[in-house]
Amino acid sequence: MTKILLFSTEPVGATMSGPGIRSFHLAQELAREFRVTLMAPGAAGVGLRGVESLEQPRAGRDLARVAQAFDVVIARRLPLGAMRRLARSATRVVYDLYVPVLSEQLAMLDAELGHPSSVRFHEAAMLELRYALATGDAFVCASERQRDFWLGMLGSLGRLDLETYRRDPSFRSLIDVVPFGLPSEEPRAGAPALRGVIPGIGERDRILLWGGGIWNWLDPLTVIRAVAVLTERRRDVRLVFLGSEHPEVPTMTMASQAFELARSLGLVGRAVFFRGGWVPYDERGSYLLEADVGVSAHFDSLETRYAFRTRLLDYLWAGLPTITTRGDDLGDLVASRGLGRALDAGDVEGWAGAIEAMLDDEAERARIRERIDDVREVFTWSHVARPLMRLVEREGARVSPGAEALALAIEHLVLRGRTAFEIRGPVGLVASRASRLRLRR
Amino acid sequence: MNRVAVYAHAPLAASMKSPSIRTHQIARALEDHFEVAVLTSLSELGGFDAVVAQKLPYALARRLRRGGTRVVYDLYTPNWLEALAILEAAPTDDLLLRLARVEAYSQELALASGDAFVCTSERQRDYWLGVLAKLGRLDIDAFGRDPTFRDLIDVVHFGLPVERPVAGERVLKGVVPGIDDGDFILLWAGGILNWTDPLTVIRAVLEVARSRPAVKLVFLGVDPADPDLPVAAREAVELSSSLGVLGRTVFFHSWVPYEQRSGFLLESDVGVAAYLDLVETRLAYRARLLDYFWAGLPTVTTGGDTLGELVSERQLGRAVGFRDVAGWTDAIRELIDDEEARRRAKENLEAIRSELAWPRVVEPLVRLLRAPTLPISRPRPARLHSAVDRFERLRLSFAMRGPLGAARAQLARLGGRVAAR
Repeated sequence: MTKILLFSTEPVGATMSGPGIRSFHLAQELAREFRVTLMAPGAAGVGLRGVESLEQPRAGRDLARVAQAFDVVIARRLPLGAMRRLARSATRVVYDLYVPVLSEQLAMLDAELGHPSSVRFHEAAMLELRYALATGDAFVCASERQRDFWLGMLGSLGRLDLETYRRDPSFRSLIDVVPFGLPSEEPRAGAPALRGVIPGIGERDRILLWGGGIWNWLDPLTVIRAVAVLTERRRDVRLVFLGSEHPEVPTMTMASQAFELARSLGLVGRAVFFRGGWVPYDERGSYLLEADVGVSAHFDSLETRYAFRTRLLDYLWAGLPTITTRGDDLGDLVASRGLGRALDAGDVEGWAGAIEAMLDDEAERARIRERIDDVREVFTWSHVARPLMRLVEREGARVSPGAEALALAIEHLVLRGRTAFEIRGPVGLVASRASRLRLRR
Repeated sequence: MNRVAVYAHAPLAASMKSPSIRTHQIARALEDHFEVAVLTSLSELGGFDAVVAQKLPYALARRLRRGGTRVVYDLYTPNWLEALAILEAAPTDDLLLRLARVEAYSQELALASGDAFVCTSERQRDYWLGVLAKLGRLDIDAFGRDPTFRDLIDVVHFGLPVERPVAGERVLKGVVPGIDDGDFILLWAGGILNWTDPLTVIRAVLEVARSRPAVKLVFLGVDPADPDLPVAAREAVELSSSLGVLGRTVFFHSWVPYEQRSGFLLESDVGVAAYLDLVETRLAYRARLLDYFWAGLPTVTTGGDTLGELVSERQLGRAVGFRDVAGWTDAIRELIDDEEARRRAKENLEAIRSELAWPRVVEPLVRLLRAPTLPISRPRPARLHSAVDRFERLRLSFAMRGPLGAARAQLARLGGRVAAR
């Protein structure tokens, strides 16, 4: 039986964010046919039947040694050292490119700019990405649109070669689409989570739920402004930001901007609520079921074009009508399948109107719930994971790292040296080298 | 800014293929906004405010930029993906493969060095953004100026001529032996290339013809006597003749000049084109379908590419699955039998005609030509690729002409460059 190592960069367990959730479900699906080992930070048994757990080694070298005992490694990203060793080994590596790293980082760094090391950080991440693309045996991503982008990058790295084309002219055996899935069980209501729990949210209030972090590329400001418009007409609208603190991601500038705006409009604690902390994965059903409408908004940027916002899937899961900005994959799904409303970026009046319509039109809410039921079938984990199962089964031709990979590795080394130099200065750099050498002995 | 040069590989001619048609139509549409010169000689491109080209020699593009000319590339098609489809059918030929690689490198150099780009669909734009990302063109500075990157690359669809097709003399009905006045003609225009799937259509048409003998399938741009026919075309001819339907239900007509297409389109009832499931399919833009739209022909085609999806979304005919003979049979039957459906499709085609008129589709290009030129931080990969490109070209030249010929060609190039200065 094929032995698979699923490498998760983020914790898998009670408090999971997108990548952790994805690893959790993919492990579950893969375990139906393969021997699966999950390696996640602090993973001491994730409670998945048939899935073994392994502690994550600190050094890339050790990681590669452990990974080589498996037939296939599935990872979002790996340390460069591990990538290099695996590229030369018999172990096949499938990279999960569902996070559009480049566009997300551009959006994040644009707001956090001013720190030279952030630019270097971005350059290094890009090099690692190119290395993965140059050496990976197969890839999955979250949407057809992302796939087109990755095909461009793969083509430019010489990965769309004639031999592969002759075997498979669609290149689906090189890169295929594994979107996000919904859990197969229905969301369950637990203890009250919002109404009567958070002061200011009463039994009869109508709740708009922002079900995830506030990242720099998202636009909570338009939604807050729309709520401000509505509070002049009615008193029952409550906008709740759920989990503005991601377990692994530092708070971004936009989160504080959102809070500042809501405060200056006098809405905090009255119509706009920020629930700090990250909601445990098992408990999010309660929050979703108490909400009336799911909301998500973003700016028109490159990030938007390739984004796959999993919070929108949470709304689908709970049967919530969704109001969102158009332009990303799931936003377009909302528009084309009539699952709520998709609006232009920054359209405050449009938002206010859409919120009122979604809250007050009971017939439309019922129709949307029916349409959501049709769409849900497509997004079950067992359905979406199928292409990954195919890629794992396939005994592909081994990719041997070419000159491109070597050049990238050298470039990466130089970049790391330069970054360390910039951060620590010459003396610090020498000192840290020396201490590393000592440690190694 | 007002003087724009559009570089065309070939002069405006009667028998043009879609890339050249595109160039000349873009040039015409730009005349409403700029003083436009259509040039076919590289040496005349200096001194303009901007140059639009599908490709340029890298060295020339750099010289033009240094001289203050803005270089905007029209990325008509990803060269490498097209090359794969062509090379796949041919026996492995090192020389051809290298030639294709050089073409791909040239396109990449254009992407590394151009000021701005247009391509034919949003999907192609995604592909090109991937290449641009790899080349380091999507950097933080650029994102800060324009987070959508629409100032770097935007979409200019393949457009439709403003003027309507005009009927001239009869070209099919009563002219081609075997095609009569009352026949229902399915037209496949634009030749049979290796990524197309004529066999599925032939099989479906034969199925339909059993109950509706008036149905005729006409392939335009295929000369059965041509020894260099693409493999797919050869197969189509062979299948038709082996089934004994050649000249009775299935017809092959040789290439017709651009200006004469309208006669064929206007005498037909439905436009057809089928494609295979290739990487190229998803990213392709099928210019022949636009001819059908132009002539108001309800269209049956394979779903999956940009225009196939437009056909099903806007109800311009029917979109069918890959190699789905039964689906094709149903679609053709429906369009023959349901006059009302044909009429509705024609109405919807009217709306598309104005949306895709050339003056409208070039608007993003007009914006890109007017934008201020910013310096490009020339990324390292570009330098590397430039060197590789030169080396590959030299090797290729050597293989094709031998050492003496290669040296002579190099000399001639240098001579030309000196003369151009």
